[in-house]
Amino acid sequence: MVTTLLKSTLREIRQSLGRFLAILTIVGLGVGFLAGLRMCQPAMMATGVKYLDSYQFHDFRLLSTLGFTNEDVDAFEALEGIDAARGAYYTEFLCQRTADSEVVLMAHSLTAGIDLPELKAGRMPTRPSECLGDAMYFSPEDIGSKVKVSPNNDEDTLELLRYDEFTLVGLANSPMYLNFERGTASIGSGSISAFVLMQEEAFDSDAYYEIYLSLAGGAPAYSDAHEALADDLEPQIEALLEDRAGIRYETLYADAMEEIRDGETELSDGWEEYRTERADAEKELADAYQELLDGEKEYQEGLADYEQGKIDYAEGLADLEQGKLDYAEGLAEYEDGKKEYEDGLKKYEDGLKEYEDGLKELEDAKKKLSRANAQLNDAKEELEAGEAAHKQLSDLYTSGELLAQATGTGNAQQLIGALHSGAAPELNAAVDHALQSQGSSLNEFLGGWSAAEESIGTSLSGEYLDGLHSTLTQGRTEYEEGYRAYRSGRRDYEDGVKELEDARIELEDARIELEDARIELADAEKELADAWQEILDGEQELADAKTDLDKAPGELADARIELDDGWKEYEEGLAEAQAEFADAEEELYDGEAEIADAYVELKDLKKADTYVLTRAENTGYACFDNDTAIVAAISVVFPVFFFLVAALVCMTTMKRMVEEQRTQIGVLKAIGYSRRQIIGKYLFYSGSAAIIGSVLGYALGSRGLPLVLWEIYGIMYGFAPLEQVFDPLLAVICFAAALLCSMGSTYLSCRAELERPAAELLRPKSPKSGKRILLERIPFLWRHLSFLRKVSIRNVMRYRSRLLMMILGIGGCTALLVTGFGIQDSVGSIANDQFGKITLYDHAVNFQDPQTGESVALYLAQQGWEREDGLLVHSGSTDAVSPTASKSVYLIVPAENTLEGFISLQRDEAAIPFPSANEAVINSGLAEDLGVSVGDTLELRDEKTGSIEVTVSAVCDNYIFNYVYVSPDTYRQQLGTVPAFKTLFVHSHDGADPYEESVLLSDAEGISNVSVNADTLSRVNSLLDRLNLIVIVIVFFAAALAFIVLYNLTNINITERIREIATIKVLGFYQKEVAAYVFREITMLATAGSLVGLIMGKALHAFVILQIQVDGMFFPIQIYPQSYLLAFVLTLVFTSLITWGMRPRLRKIDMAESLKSVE
Amino acid sequence: MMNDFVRFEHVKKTYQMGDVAIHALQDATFTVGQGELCIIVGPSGAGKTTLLNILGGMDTLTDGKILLGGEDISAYSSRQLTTYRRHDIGFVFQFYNLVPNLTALENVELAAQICRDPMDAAQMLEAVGLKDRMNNFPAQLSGGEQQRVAIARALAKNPKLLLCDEPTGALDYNTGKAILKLLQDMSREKGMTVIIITHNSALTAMADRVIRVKNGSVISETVNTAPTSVEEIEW
Repeated sequence: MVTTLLKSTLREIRQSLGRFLAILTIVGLGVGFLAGLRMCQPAMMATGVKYLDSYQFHDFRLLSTLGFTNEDVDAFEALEGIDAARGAYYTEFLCQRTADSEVVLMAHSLTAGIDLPELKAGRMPTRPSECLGDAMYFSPEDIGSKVKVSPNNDEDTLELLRYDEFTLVGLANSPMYLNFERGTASIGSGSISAFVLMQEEAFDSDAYYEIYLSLAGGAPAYSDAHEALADDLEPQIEALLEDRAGIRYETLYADAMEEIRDGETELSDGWEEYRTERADAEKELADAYQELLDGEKEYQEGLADYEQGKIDYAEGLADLEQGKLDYAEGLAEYEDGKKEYEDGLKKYEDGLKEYEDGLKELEDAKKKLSRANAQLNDAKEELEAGEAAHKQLSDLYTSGELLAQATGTGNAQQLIGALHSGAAPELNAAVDHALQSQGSSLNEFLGGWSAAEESIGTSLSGEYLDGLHSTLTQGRTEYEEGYRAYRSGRRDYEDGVKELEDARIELEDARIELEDARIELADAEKELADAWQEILDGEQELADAKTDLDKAPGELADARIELDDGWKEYEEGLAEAQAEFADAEEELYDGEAEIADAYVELKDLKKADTYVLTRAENTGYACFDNDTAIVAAISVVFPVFFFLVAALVCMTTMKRMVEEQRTQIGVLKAIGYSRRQIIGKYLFYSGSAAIIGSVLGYALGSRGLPLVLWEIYGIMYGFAPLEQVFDPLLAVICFAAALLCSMGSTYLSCRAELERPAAELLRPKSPKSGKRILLERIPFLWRHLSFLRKVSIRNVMRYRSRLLMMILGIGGCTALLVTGFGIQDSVGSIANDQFGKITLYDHAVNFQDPQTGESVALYLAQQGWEREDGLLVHSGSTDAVSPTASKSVYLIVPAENTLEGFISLQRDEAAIPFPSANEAVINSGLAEDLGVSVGDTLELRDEKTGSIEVTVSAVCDNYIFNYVYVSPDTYRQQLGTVPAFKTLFVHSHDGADPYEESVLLSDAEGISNVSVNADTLSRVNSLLDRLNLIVIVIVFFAAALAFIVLYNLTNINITERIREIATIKVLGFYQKEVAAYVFREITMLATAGSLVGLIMGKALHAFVILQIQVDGMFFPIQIYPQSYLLAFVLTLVFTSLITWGMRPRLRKIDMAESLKSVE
Repeated sequence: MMNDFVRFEHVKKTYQMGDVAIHALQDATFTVGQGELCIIVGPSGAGKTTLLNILGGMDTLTDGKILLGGEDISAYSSRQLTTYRRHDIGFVFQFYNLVPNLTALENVELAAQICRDPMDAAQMLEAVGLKDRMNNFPAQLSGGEQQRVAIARALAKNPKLLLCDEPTGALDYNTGKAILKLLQDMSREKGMTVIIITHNSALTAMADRVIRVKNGSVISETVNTAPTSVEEIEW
């Protein structure tokens, strides 16, 4: 191609990028959708195959009711064509996840070289007490935690598992569990939550439970080669399994015999041991009883002591009070005594003082007496001296007077005076003679006188003498008186002395008395102090006693409790002992019974039932095959739309482009470019778009779509990252198809235009004439249309290829949506119809032995069900044979002539009567497969029981498995036996959890298993969940398809009619009117396309549903009206989104365009 | 008869093309009386089309004022302009701009449908002499016939003003003449105000008023007191 032309083309692409991108995208979508959907199944399959092969998924699983020995395993390993054989164990068990929740886990033993775990985290177990956990259930945080085996497990399980708990050391996926289903359980919640993998040593059993075989030859999983290999080997394996089971039986029989013998010995030992131990225990118990009785007595005593103590205490308290009173009295008495004593003492002291005073007085009196005595003596002496002096003086004086008389001198004084004077010396000598006669002398006289007179101090005279005499006489009297007084004083004194003496004696007595009193008081005081101390002591003693008393009830209560505990313990011990005795006895009797049973059992020991399970029997393996097939089924049809639409988009786009560039083509032609060069430009345009589109589409689609689906499937199959598969043939087909539809359509649409001579091309093309359409020939209708509608309708009809593109594209979009929603409806209606309308029971209880109405009535009553909630049936697998085909079916024969309430026999909502004698009702899917219809004869063939010939009386709806319903009479008449009624259909209680109920139903003798319909329902629902996600993908593609087509058409419509649009704008159409003018036809086309799409969708849905083959399920071809409506509405929503998005384009159209000349 | 039915006052239009400001109209001032046939003439690029676009409500002006029957259309919003086009303006294009998918009658009805007080479409076609071709599609009509349909379409709206952009530009001499005659008759007989834009000065003779435009300015505005009949004009 010439460079300038190339440049022009590239520029063209740049300028009309929207158009280019539209082609690119539609081609990309087509290629992407085709490649993506086509690659989903291979990619998923490759992933599965790689996974299964690299983790050595087993080829056969062998089961025997008698188990397997190492020799059995070796025998299988030696079989030709077998690569490896591994014995293994498995058991479901209850695991304590938290304190109050239990889940059911499935434990498997790890097998070397077969079913290798895919370690996701942690490490492999290195000792028997470690395990790997299900990576879909456990999280990495659980590593290191314990998987606890619940004590609620049955004995066999607890015995089989060597440990109570296993340490989770790693997380793993297992090829045995390819999808998320872990199966149902006969314990706990009824469904298995997860698996755990342990070393073989974690299981304690003398026989393997199963053998896994892997085939030599290494044919990939799911391959025909593998299937052939397995099919070839299966009979040999079955034969060997029979042989080995026979040997196993012999060995077991011998072993059991020996075991019974051992058991008998053991039992007798057991009896012996029981007796000894029982005696010991009884003695121990008796001792304990005695001890308790002693204790009881001690307690009673204690109680009495306490009561006594209380009384004593009260008495003591009273005594103390009395003592206190006495003490107070004593104290008062003592106080009185003391006062008395003190008074006595005072009196005594007073007396003493008085006495002492008296003594002193006496002393004084004595002194006075002695003084008075002395005075009296003195007075007497003086008196006697005075009387002596008075006689001297009176003798002198009388001698003087006798002289004086004698002499006659007057008186003595005058004589003495005269003598003295000497005057008369005759006198003096007279007197002296007289005197000398007497012996004296005058001078001595006169000297005597004068001395007298001197001594008396006064002249001596009669008078004086008389005076003296009287004085003396008086003195005498006085003396006499004094003496008398003295005498009396003396007597008084002597009396006083006597008296005092008496007083003294009296005082002495008093003193002694006081002394005695004092001593007495001191004694009393001491006595009182002692009494007080005694009181204090008494108080203390009482307080102590009180404390003791207060403590006593607590102690007593404790003692009581202790005693009661003791009694309880004793009772318990007794009960325990008795229970133990009973248990032991029971055990022993059981042992005896067991031995008896063992004999019976041994007699009954059946040859082993053996099973050879192929890979197809593994849920994960089989489901994976089915699930991936769904995708393959839908991958055929859908992309066809995209390619058709892609071709139409190319065609219309390129045609439009060539028309637009008519002048340019003319110019090129005129310049001298060849036709090929010019057409090359357009082929390049569409071809490059297609190539880029298909490369992108293939790259994104073939890798992305499988990834998206794998993500969706990851919920079930999260086992490995997706294996991307490249399919060169598919890639070539995609490219070829893309180029063919883009360039081919371009060539076809350009050729005609290019044929014209240059001159004609250079002239403006005469506008394409409007054409009358069919509708105009019906004026009645046509006239009723506004011509805005007329324009639209004419425009719609004007370009056939666009019409087709729209119908196919929009129709395709709607059809995809209808199909998507319809698939949901079909699968969803299985859930609704099968379990809401047809299968009305919730549980199927399978008994080991045939039952009667009475026995199941008993069973139901025991498990807590009403009789009418159960229906006894015979349910068996049999072959239904028609002249053209044979099919494995379930034969259902109810014990009574009805299934009402448990299985609804119906066809399209209309009830079907229960078959009468020699008739059968079969499900529609079976009728179709066998090619029989109502009135035809059918043979129900069973190798063991014989054949039944029946006439098909009606065909019923049923979506899961094939069923033939026959009356019990038919069975009996034709086979001559009563059918084995081993299955009981049971209704759930309202609102009860069906899984929990199934466990409840399992919990009885003679139950083989209980199947829960909710389990199947949940499988259908999970399928529905996956489909929901697939539907989202479909909606996305449908939307993309609608957008591309609508965008393209709108784009063409607008660019092609810019002049027209500008003109009507000039004419004064409002924005909305302009939009309506342009988009009305788009909407009309979309509506028409969508309506066509509804019909296409119905067909597509039917096709797809027929392609989806899930084993044992028949999907009804059913689309609900709301799905049609939703698809229709969604399509219109897409349409309005596009038209809404294109509005700005209209607004931007310049009215000046209308003034331009026609190109 | 209003003497200034259409009134341009210092109308200015500047297109900003990147950095360059193109002055399509500079200070255009003129008036057109009601019922007049006015011809705006000038060479290519003189600003005739701009003038028409602005008067036709297809474009806005940069400065100045345009009054139609006293209404200030230069102040109209986009929506008001659409309404203005819808009810007040009849437009005749150089290339007729008929909707190819509609018959002649339908093309007229297309316009008549949307306005308040439309004329009868069939009568309008009859008036332009196409009574017999009413049900033909544009592709089945000659250029002159198509232009007649276009005129009928413009008149069916009963507009205040008929704007014609080079109505004879794509037509041969005789057909063009016939179209011009039709337009002159419309003005004469129905009192329609018609403004024709052309680069052909020869046509000015038939107009009541001639406005000459050059380089975006009105260079003269002449009132032709005695317009010539179209038949007498030669070019």
